[in-house]
Amino acid sequence: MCDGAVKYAVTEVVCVKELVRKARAGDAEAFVALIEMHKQSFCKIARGFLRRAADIDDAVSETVLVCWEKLPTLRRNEAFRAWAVRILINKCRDIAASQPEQTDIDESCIEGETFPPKDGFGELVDALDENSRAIFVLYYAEGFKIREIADILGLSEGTVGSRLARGRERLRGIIEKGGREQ
Amino acid sequence: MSTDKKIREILGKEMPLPESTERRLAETYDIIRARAAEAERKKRAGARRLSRRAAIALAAAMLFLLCACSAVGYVMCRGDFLSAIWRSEEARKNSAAVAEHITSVGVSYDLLGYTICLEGYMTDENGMGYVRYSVSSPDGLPPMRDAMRDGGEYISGDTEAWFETDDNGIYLLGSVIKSDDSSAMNHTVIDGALSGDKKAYFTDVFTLPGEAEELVFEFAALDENGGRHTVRIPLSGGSVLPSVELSDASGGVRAELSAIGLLLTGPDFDLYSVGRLELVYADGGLSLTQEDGACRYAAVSSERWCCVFDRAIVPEEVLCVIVDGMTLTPGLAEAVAPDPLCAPAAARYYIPPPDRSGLELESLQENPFHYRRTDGVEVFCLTGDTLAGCTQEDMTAYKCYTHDCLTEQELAELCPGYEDNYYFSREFYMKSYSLSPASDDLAPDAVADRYLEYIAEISPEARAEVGTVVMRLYQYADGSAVVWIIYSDTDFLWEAELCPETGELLNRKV
Repeated sequence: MCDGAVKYAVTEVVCVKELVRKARAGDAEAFVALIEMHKQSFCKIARGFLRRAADIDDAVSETVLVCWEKLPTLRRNEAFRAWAVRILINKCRDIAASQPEQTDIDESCIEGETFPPKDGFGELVDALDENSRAIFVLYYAEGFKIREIADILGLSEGTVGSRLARGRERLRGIIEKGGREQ
Repeated sequence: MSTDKKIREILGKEMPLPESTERRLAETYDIIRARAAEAERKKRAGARRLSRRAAIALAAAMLFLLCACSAVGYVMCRGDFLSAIWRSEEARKNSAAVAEHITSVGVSYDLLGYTICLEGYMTDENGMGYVRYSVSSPDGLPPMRDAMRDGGEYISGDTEAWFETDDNGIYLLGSVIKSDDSSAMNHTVIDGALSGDKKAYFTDVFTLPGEAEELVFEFAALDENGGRHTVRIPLSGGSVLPSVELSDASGGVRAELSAIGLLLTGPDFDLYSVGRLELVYADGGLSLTQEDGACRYAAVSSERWCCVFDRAIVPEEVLCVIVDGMTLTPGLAEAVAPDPLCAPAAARYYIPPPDRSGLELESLQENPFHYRRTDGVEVFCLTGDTLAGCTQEDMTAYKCYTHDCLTEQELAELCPGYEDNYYFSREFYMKSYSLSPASDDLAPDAVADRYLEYIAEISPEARAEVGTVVMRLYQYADGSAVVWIIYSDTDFLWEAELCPETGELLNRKV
């Protein structure tokens, strides 16, 4: 069953599964179409781990290359998204680990463009503790289920659930405060 | 607006990517297009159809040429192929017949300073097989990551491990098995027992989307500039394992069985569409089942569902294969006398509910999902046994308490808005955690006692308030750990993973 559709090669409408199948057969354009469908998700998830736009770009582009090379190892075409996200998260963790602590970075000192633009996403993500950011992005922005998040992040479902609950409480205060200020 | 909705609105909204990101992605796409074009060019160059004899001769010539050109030269790889791919004696019990189909290669190639050595391989005529190779460097290997443990570094043991980028910026991408027009689906596992800092051994299990023809083993790496380098070794010249055709009741051929794998053909397969798989031997012995982890690697492509077994079998001794109740027999169905052993085997798999006769239960003894202890504590318990032992009525009677009892469809109908809780559902549990903990001291009643004793030690007041205990005790379908998740109407939560053999605590949260 198709879980999404994209305009591919101008007129052909194909689903993710079909794109993955074509990409596995070596069709680079199908793979590009696939990544175009997911690029925003990838950037958002990377933002859950990294703050500099250049780092996010590095993580996403390296992930795209690895996905292309490792595509033959993907066992189920329909599992592409979770599989690619797992690779992305590993890349993000590598990049984060190779850098000094970023928790107290002054936004004004960050070189280059920022992602996302200042419209609430970054503020909300940064308000969460490090361990919860990716969980929130995967759950709320990307629609992954708790079970899938647990699989992707290597956590138990209970842990994912409790971090969601704790983070939700934390964000509730921020959102209510924002509402009152408006 | 609720907090939930507000968070979803903020985090979920579309947002434009910076120009720099788009630019970087466009560059990445160009690299991929170039690599795809190069691969296509190579494929076309080698696409001339050759007779089998000519193909073997060419493969031999290529091997000779590659070896002659290799800076590293010949290094014979050692090791027993069979004991490397099948660890246990039980798995190797029937391997005598397959030994003659192992092709030893034993040549090494240099790839950006690393030595890639193809030890040998074995394939069947349905495109399934094993490849054994090593990667080594006198200066040491790059660090590795355990792909199965997210974020975790590779430590030891047989697992899927990927290389990290080395100090010189070289990234070893790993192996792929290719045929003429497609790549195999392969799963690479490091040999934890033999691998060290300077040399690592790997076993590839693979299935091709089509018939095995002109297979090539390819190991790729990226240099510090992102340039792609590969070692390509034809897997030609060996004999392939034959297979036996299996037919369904209508006489149509639905499967092919070889000594190392089963291929099912038919429309609309997905990876989970095959639930129960049994191979029944003529002597009545059950050789292996899907639930016991019989498929070391299962993969699906279009109308082919492939399972590479975790051991060698003897196809000629298999009386039938039962796939989700459908019996497939060798040869034409009408030529084979029906055998009672090949009846759908649901009864054989029925796991009786736990014996509670020794317990002084106040009520509901007949229902292993739910009982009341003599101290008044009501216990809801989910295990593989209780799932198998409870009727649907038993289960649905408690649907308002948790979702454990429901199927996905029931969950959607009865509890709209709680679809996310599918991972608590009966269907999910039956798929993922079909086993109950085997050991007596992990019996649900004993565990409930331990949980309550623990609360009493910490806080007698809290213990006095416990009215309900909800327990999930199960074993992962792959048998790797026994898991407890226990909670109650107090604040005490137990989550623990235990080694099923030793009882060692693997992971615990209190």
